Amino acid sequence: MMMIKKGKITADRIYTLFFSRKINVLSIKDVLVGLGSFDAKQVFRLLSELFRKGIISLNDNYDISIRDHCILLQKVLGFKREATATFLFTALKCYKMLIRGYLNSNEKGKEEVFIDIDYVWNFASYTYNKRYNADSKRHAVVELLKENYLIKDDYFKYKRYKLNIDKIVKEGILDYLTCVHGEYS
Amino acid sequence: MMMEITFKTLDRVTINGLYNKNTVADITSFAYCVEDNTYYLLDDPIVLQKREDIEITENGYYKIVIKDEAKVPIITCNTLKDVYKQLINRLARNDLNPFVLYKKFKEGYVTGNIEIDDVLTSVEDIPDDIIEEMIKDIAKAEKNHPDIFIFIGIDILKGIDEVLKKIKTNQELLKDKHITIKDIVNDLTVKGYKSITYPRYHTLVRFIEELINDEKKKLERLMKKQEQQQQQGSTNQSSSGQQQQLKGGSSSGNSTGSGTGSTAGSNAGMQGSPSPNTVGNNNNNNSNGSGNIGSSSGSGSGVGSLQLYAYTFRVIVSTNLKRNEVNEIIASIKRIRPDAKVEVI
Repeated sequence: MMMIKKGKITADRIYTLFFSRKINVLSIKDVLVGLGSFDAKQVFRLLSELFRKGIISLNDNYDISIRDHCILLQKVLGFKREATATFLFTALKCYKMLIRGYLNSNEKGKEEVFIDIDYVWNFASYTYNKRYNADSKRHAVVELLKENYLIKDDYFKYKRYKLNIDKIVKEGILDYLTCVHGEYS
Repeated sequence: MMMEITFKTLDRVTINGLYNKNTVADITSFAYCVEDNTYYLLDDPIVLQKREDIEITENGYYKIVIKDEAKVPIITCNTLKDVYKQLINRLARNDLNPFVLYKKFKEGYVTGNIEIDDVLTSVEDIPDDIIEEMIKDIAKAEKNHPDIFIFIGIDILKGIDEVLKKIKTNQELLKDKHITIKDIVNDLTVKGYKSITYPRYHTLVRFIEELINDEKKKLERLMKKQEQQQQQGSTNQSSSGQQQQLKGGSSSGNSTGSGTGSTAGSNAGMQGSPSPNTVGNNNNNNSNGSGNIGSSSGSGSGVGSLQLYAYTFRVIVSTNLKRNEVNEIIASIKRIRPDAKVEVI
């Protein structure tokens, strides 16, 4: 039987575990080992709660897989709102082709990726079924600007922002999303 | 009554969707084609893999012994196209592979289903290589993820057709992008929890519209930048024209003007200027072909040589300087340093 020390565990630690491993499926054993010494009962209680909320699920091999990547991103990146994480998650999906172009080009030929916020929200709505009101959408974009994931541009002033891909790559967001959105390079 | 049937199958038209996944491996019906005197299976050929009582003959036919003949109806069709219609009619509620349907449609097989045929007819032309590539891609996804459902709507064909049209119309704009339909479809395919969802018509259309829009905006920005540069260039040219005029004036000033050096000297404030901007301006002016005013030698004044001149003088006076006053200032500077180059910017 696994010896597990008692201690407090939060969902954030589970999210961080998946994010740092750059994977969206882990076996229960891996989760327990990855979390270090914790009360197994507490871990299972937490996992059941996350399962009930639809954030994680069990696959056919009884491995734990992340179902709601937006929540994971929100918690790991410390966003105040889920909408912010949804926007970033969706933008990195629907602009995948341009992002790939940016990553694969050399320093001199790099073309910045400009995103249209209406397009991203539409994509989130009909592809991921994520709908938000106007206020949430506005706050999400403001938060991303504040956190420097989006950058204002002098020329494109209407609903178009530059995606800060260097920051996104540096923080390992693309590495994690590769398992969800597919390869970027 | 027992009966032995030797039969063939048509191309598989379905994918591992929600309906096909749970299909019980029952053989429910056959078609007898009068045209080639052959029996055809009217079920998804995938059921054959799940059954052990099927024998494969040398010429690629399948053989089965039906225990209760009454339970498996055999429909008589005149042509192979009718057999295809019957097959689609039976599988229409299942998850059909749009690319296989389109391939067959191009070969002259209509499905007989009004909705599907409408979409297939509305698609103008998707090249065969794209269709083959997509069929392979879906087969690969099925092979790699046997436990995952694949959702794909027939309107993906309309979407791809629209994308191809838009790429064709905006060929010049997108020529550096090297985009392929496979890349677009793969990028927009959503891998979810136990499912892979291929993009639908509106997703594809919005994507290509956004891409074109983005390129147009970038081009617009580039053109505006060039325009600004041109304007800047023309301003420089006009200033160089002024300089040319002044050059003519300065020679006359040199011959006539004298004794005003002290006034100019008192008005001239030294800016102390080894700033990169100043050097840049100098270079700009020089590269635009502006003449150096008061340059007595007129030779040996290359772009690099200007960088040796480290000082910029700004003349601050209460009213505008007159042309002859400017000439006097230049003359006085030249008097102090005959080898100096003086530019009026």
